[in-house]
Amino acid sequence: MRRALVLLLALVACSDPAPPAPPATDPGEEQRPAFELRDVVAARITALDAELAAGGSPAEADPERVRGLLAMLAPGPHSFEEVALADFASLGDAAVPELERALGSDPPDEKARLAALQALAACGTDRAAEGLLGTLEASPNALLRAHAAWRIGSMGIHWTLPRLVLRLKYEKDHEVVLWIADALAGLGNLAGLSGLSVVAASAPDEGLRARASSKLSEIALLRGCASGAELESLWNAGDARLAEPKRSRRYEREIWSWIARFQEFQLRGVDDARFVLERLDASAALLCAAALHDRDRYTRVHSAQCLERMGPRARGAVPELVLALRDPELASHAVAALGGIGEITSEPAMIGALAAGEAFDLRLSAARALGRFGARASAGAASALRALLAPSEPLELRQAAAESLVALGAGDEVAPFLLECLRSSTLEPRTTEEALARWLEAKAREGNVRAGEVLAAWNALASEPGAVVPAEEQRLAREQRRKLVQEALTDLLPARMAR
Amino acid sequence: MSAPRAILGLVVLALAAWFLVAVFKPTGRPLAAPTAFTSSEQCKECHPTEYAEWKGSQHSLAWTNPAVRALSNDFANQDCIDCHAPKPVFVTGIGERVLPRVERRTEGVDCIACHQLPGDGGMAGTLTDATAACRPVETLDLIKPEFCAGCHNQHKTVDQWRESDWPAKGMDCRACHMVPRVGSDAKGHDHGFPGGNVLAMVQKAVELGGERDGQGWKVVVKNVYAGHTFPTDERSRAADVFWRPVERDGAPIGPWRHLHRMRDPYRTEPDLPSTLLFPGERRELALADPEASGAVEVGLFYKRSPYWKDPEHPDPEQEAELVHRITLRP
Repeated sequence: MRRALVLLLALVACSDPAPPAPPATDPGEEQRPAFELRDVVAARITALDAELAAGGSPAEADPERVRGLLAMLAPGPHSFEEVALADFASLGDAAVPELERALGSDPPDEKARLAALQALAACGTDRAAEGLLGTLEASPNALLRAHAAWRIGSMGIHWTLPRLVLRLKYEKDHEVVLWIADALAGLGNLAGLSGLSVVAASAPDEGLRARASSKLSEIALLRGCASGAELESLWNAGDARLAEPKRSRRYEREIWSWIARFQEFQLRGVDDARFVLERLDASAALLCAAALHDRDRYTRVHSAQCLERMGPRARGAVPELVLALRDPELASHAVAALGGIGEITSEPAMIGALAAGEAFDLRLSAARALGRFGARASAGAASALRALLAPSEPLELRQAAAESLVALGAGDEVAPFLLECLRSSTLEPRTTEEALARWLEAKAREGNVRAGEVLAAWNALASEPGAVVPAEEQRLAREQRRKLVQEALTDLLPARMAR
Repeated sequence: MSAPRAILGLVVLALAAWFLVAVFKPTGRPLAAPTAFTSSEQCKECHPTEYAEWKGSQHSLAWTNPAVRALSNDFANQDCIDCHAPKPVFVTGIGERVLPRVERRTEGVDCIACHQLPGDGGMAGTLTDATAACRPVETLDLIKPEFCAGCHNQHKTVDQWRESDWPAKGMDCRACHMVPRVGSDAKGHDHGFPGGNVLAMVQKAVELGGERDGQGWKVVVKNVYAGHTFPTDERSRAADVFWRPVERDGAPIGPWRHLHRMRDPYRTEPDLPSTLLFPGERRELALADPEASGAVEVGLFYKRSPYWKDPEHPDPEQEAELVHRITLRP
């Protein structure tokens, strides 16, 4: 019996009831250092608050005196305007409380409020600028908002810039937009140019259109450009000729407060922050790049989104974005940002992100991002994208690679495949249609007459912008477009490919 | 060997045999290997009912819905992507704001978005079964309103519910939007997620009535059965009350005339007030037009885009869905 028990125990000891161990990692897999995460935003805000902590506010100036000075700003034959403005400059913050009360006068007195805005600008302090911003952001009177924007611009206080930019999102009055754009340009930011162009083209008042057009030319000429369009192009390209002025620490603090909004639950605040930050320039891009390391995932992701939308102005962020490819939560957004910025030096890292062992969302995002290099992309990028067309690759990845190859000028190779993609019920058709349209446009520019005809018929099938087109109608239009191109393929493709 | 020793030996051997069988006996089914789920199509094979229900739902259409595409300018407004093609909710966290995903966006708010657990942890479900293909893990978070909040509290729908008396009545999101299946062998909850897209639900949520008020009328709208405001969620949704005088025989006189709109305005419409109808709220609308002194017809219409083709002359019968229509006679 003893032997039986020993045998029994031996057998039990040999059993392995535990579940199978997870597969070991490939010993050949490179052990990349982790992407460092730390409390970036909170730490910078704390440090800057300590640095910028102001001494106590001065005692409020005698309200009677302030009201007397305001009266001196009224135009007239014996105007003491210059004297009053000089007094406001010396009073500084002490005058602000009474001036803010004047802004809220009841009943409303427009002339008095305009004088208060002028006086605040003359005070020249941060607190005075806050008072002006309050009017710009909340006054129901468009004239007061326009004056506030003008006065803010005249103060040259850089930290007001982000809040001026945000007004571009919500302001509907054309005159106010004109003065916001003017103020921004005075502060070295050209985010208002597109709004100014819209006012110049479409304001109902002819005089306002002329003034906007004149303002656009003035801003352009000051920067050595022949037109507003040329200047806007340089701005979007982050051209080095548009050097950013040196920004203050208070400006930096303001930027961090916008980055901090990325953590909000309500997208309203996040959307506002993204709107502002993507319209700023190189110094803000460096702060967003630093924020890529924040522990909060929303801060990291939305910072990368802003860098993508900033485009070439964010080129200073490229090294950090390349590092961010190591962060699984951030990588797909980081590679999209690299595509948006378009620095050719980041191409090798983006090609690396296509590798078979990488996460699918990263590979997909990289495939799309490489297309944004267009004709500047290297032969290596084109080869890497071609490799993704293999039937063994997921269909969505093949679609992304094909669309990018069109942008790289290799549309002839992939047009037939893209036509098949249009038949899929699982793939996004819009990007494929855009790629095919781009291919037809390129062929038409090369002199292919048939491409021009097909493109005209293709465009005729477009629905009205903003129209709600039923799904079946969309599908039929898409099928018509597919057939248009399919039937013309022999004429569109080079002879060797058309066979 | 003596008989007692023999018997004892047999007993020991029997026990040993029983023990060995217990240790080494196969379970019947092997443990499922971790699977990378890349499409909700993969769920169809084992969950055809849920898949079919979801496929007909607004969640399935979140990316491809023509109205969504128009209002987001084909997702050129990238900020819409977060909720219309979200990463798995369990990855971003229950009650936390969702983040956009890059892949398979055409599947909208799909099985993977709601059920996939982080890493290769399997799928959140109502039971745990390591041998099932998707390795479900019983996860109670699935049935909590906080689970819906990541997307649906962007416009405070879940907060509206919390502030109403519906939690006290024991009725949460699923009570209306994910009802238990009916039928003798049915189990689980309907994955069709009916809401404002289902006329019957809209009709049930709000009542329309009226009473005489001097020489005119007082039209009454009441939110009787929505656990949140009416309308709720996306700011594009609007409910409008129209009226028109009618003849004695009920024939309408002239076009519909706008009386009141219930809607939450866009952020870029700061001059418009929010006029949402709160849970349980009864709203009286004065109809004092001289032409309303006689019989009038009143209609409550619902639309998913707030714009009219001709704002000066809106045509609700062509551009909106009729929810309730009543005739008020002196």
